[in-house]
Amino acid sequence: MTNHPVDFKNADAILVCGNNPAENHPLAMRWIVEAMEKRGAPLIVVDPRFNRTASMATHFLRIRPGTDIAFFGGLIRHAIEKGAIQREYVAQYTNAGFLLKPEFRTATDLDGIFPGLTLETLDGNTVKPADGKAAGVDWAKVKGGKYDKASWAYDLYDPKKDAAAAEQALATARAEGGSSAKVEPWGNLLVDRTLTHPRSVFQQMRRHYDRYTPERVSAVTGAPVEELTKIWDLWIARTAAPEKTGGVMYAMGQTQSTIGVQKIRVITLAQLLFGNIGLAGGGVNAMRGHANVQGASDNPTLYNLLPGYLKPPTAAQQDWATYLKETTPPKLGDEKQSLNWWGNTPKYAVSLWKAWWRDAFDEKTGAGYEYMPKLDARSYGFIDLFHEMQKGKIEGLYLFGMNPAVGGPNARQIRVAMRKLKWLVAADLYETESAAVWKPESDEGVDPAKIDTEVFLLPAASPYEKGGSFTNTGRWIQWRDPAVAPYGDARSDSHMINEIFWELRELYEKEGGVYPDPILRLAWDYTAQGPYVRTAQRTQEMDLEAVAREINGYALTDFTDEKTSKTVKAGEQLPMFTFYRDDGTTAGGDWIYAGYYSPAGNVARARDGSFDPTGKGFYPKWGWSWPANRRIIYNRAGVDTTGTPWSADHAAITWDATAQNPPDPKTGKPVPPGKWVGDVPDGAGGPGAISPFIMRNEGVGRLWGNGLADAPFPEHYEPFESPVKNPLSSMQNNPVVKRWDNIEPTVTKIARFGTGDTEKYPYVLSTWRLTEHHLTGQMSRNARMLAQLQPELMIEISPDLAKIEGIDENDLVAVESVRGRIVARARITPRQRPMQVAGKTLHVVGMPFHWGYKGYVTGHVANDLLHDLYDPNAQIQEDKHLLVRLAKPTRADLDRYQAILAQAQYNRKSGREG
Amino acid sequence: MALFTDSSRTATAATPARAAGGGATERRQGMMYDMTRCIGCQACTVACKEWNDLPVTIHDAEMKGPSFQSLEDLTPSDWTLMRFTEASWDDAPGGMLLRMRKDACHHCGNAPCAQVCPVSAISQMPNGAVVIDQDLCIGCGYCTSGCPFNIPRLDSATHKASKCTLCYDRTSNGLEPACAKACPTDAISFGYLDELHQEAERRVANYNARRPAGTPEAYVYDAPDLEGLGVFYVLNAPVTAYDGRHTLPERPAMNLAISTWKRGFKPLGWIGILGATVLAAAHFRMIGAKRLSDPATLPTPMEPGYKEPEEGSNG
Repeated sequence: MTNHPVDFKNADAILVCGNNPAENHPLAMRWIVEAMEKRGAPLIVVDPRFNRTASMATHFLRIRPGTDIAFFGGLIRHAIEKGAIQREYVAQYTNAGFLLKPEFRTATDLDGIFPGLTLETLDGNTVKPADGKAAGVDWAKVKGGKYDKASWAYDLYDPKKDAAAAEQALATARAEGGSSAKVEPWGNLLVDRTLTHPRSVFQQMRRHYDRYTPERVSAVTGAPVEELTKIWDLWIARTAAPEKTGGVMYAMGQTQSTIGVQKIRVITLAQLLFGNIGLAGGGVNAMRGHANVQGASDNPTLYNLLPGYLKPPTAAQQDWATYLKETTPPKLGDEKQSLNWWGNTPKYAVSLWKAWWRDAFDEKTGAGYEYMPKLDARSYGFIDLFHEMQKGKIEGLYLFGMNPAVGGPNARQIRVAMRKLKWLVAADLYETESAAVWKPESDEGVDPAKIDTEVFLLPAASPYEKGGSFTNTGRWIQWRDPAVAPYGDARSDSHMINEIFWELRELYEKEGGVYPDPILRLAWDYTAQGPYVRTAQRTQEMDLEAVAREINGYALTDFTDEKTSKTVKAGEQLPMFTFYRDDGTTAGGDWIYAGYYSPAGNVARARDGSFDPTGKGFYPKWGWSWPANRRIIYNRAGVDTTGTPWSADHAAITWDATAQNPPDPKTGKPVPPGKWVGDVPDGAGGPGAISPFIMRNEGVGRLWGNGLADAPFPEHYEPFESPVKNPLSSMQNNPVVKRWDNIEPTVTKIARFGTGDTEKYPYVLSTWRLTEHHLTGQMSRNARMLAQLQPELMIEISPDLAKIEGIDENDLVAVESVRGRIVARARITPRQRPMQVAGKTLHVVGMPFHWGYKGYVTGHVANDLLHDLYDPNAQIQEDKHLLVRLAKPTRADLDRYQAILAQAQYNRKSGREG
Repeated sequence: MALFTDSSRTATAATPARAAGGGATERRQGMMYDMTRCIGCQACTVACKEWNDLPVTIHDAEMKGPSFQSLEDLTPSDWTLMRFTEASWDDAPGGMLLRMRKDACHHCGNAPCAQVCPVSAISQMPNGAVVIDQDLCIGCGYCTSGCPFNIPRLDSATHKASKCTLCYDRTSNGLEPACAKACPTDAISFGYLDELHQEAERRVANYNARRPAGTPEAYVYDAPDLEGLGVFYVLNAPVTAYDGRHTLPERPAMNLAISTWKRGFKPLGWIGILGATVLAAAHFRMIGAKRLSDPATLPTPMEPGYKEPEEGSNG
């Protein structure tokens, strides 16, 4: 997230949309309460369901699941109509004034799609939408699509390349702009800071969201027009003025959707328009779903990222030079103003390769580049793995504290696939549902005799039995030591990985193999007790501090930093990522973490909870926050070009013009007075020296962007299995959704383009979490106290629907989607209510996803109902909106249910202590 | 959260601002349950069981409702629980109220349970905590029926009553109770009762100034008739809006039978005993000791004329 949980206390208003902090982030809730108590901040909850956060809310708006883009798109249109945007911020710090290519069209022009769409039909043909519009396509026959993004581009002005063409472009733009626009070149871009040019991002955005009128947004979301405008007006009143700011929080309620990434983009757009990014109390705040998810994407356990968000090589990038060229973005905009921080990619990439392969990698020749695996055109996301498994292409699976048999989408399909494995290792605290996937209780008709999977259950250390660091949702890295030694034979994950590595290495050494070099030459000297020595027990834990030192980065040879004239000796820790170099003198595992294990030692151990010089809760000596211990990123956007904060109340940084500076260490010349105070500013230089959004290659916040696969402006598409036709365009679903049509149709019924089958499945199901349970329930359903607090899988049903279906409180109900049928206990609650969508009454039901067939309390797997279509950018599944029907359970349903409950009874009687 | 002014974190003999409460000999400590801040996460419930090492029993189909409620009631091993209420409230955001109420012993200043206990197993500790001595308890159940909040629970197997102890083992050692420690939003605060009441007034005023349009006002729920609750509420719904099966008394007070017994009959009993003693002394002095007939002249059982003494006679 751009800010951090403590920072919520600085907000003038808090918008919770698609998350539920009271239930899933109780500790974040205390800071929201503080903002409400101390600042009178309203808490606005926008959600399909009245949850425990809503019980505290000052305003609650019920919207249909999956319609967040319509809600925020409507807010954007409403704000522009009312002239409520923060104009100076938008003109200076976003790309609102940048001119786009003349060929670019919005989804308003093309009836829901953007230019350049090519579609593939189910029979393998390629088609293009007629007139580039969505309406003429027979979507029932479409398999998927892809955008050619040639027209999704800025209008470039590059006199160095072609002076005549550049002048021509400028003249044309000026002529088109009319009298009000003032088109000027800004580096190699054309900018109209009056934001009136018809080709400017701002005017195109306005055009794009022109359709999002309150009436149409109401038709999409199911919220009444007057309630929508009331919430929009409140948000504008509380956050749009420069001296006011508000924070938006989101989590899986937004992201788990086939348009998940665009949903977050639209929040970013709204926050940029109100000037709410870079200020204390503002921001776009992802509430992570697990203690270390932020850390797991910074040092990624993902196939499509390298540490520090570097891009992994692709098969097309056959040599080092090509790789660097293609992953280093070109600078856009003013040479000095636009910092284009990713221009430093070669320094970070060289240091990463050096950290992993040291001398075996040569940055000059690129020898050793090939040790890093390259991605081919296929995707290796979560669901891909299981589909390959089902085809028999993946033989083995190693799970570290992971439970896909419950947690994956379309979980029954996942269990079917897992039973085709030759071997399965589950390192966990308990026997998980995944480890027991071969047992009869896992699914009906499973016969262990017919499953050839060899399963190894390894006892893993619990969080309190191992050291290391956690990176929280606010990017704070906090180091901790084990409280107790692991129980019995349990080992930490790092311990297991250390063993596997040395075992593998020995095999490669002994037997050679196809390509042993990446393993044999890997610099792996983290073993705690010095060099790795094989013993009879072979139990050697890694020294996690050694891993941390490598992640931070260190000097391989002595060098002197040009900017600071500071000399770093070989083996010394690098103080900051600005010390990372591309000449092979530094090694570093993750540039954004540079500074957390500085020459001063392990800074992530810092725990000074009393040091808060700004009084805004930054606590700079508590843990360490990437990057550069910056607590609010893009904080330069929080001050104007003179360094004066838009609002002193929300200033992360302020320019103190009177502060005296020591002379330049290199030249000895005096340095003019002036210093930033407060948080660590983004990038070097005084006020106005650089554009604040330094990670973007144009230096400003992107209201329009061409980086995503599906849309340059966020556009509302209906969920797959939607009960209604998209009221905003003819394009029903995300046309470039990630889908699979190439596997045996055993369990999966692949959702097709179009509306869902509301005749058969009339209700919308949304899944979510409970405070009392954790993820797939392994850690909580095996803890007696938590198991007791929420013992049974439930389905929340509104009293109206209960009447229609003839369901009483505590009845067992069968819930069925196209993919599966499960049983849950009915909980009839007014927290769920029917809504009016497109003239029809729509009922929404909800279920938590924490149950499975192991533990002290058991239940059916709610994820069996989900489909497995993915968002095309982040490959996230759609968990929050699909169609189901309810029924009275049959005898067979109840038998299955009893069989699962019997597992819990056995576990409770077997005497394990919880 | 603990609200302490003394850095030493020990109870001192400072002048109590409120009624000291029956047996409290030191500045009275207690807790505030601020339901305007409660998010119903039930961390308090878990912390209580964890610290007090209370056994957990999981039954099938235990989900009881309404709302997120799964524990139906307090038991000998569930000393605190969260009671969820869903009330229709047209003007409130979302047209309803979702309210939580942490239910546990209130550690009354003048505790009815202690008053009714026939064996004095229930007593008030120096800081005001009302605790049941498990060794003395005879399991008569008077405390449960005497409690205006229906808190103590009798274990049918051990015949002992139990309830929240205000974590006296923690609070007497400078720690706050386990539930207060675990609460993420400071909805549970431990401290000196006079200071907690000041904080409560501040919070009530603050909440009422910002409370969502159309929702009920917050107020302090206390029991002046019981010399003040050691554990009091800040509630933000009328008492009657909370779960109907477990209503809070609107004005908690000593049960009439208890006060009649304690203030009427029990003193009368003492008067009776005293009167009997006085009369006996007067009789002894005025008439003298009771004289038996000369034993030598009485017939023995072996002799004729002997009569068995009648049942109940003092012969």
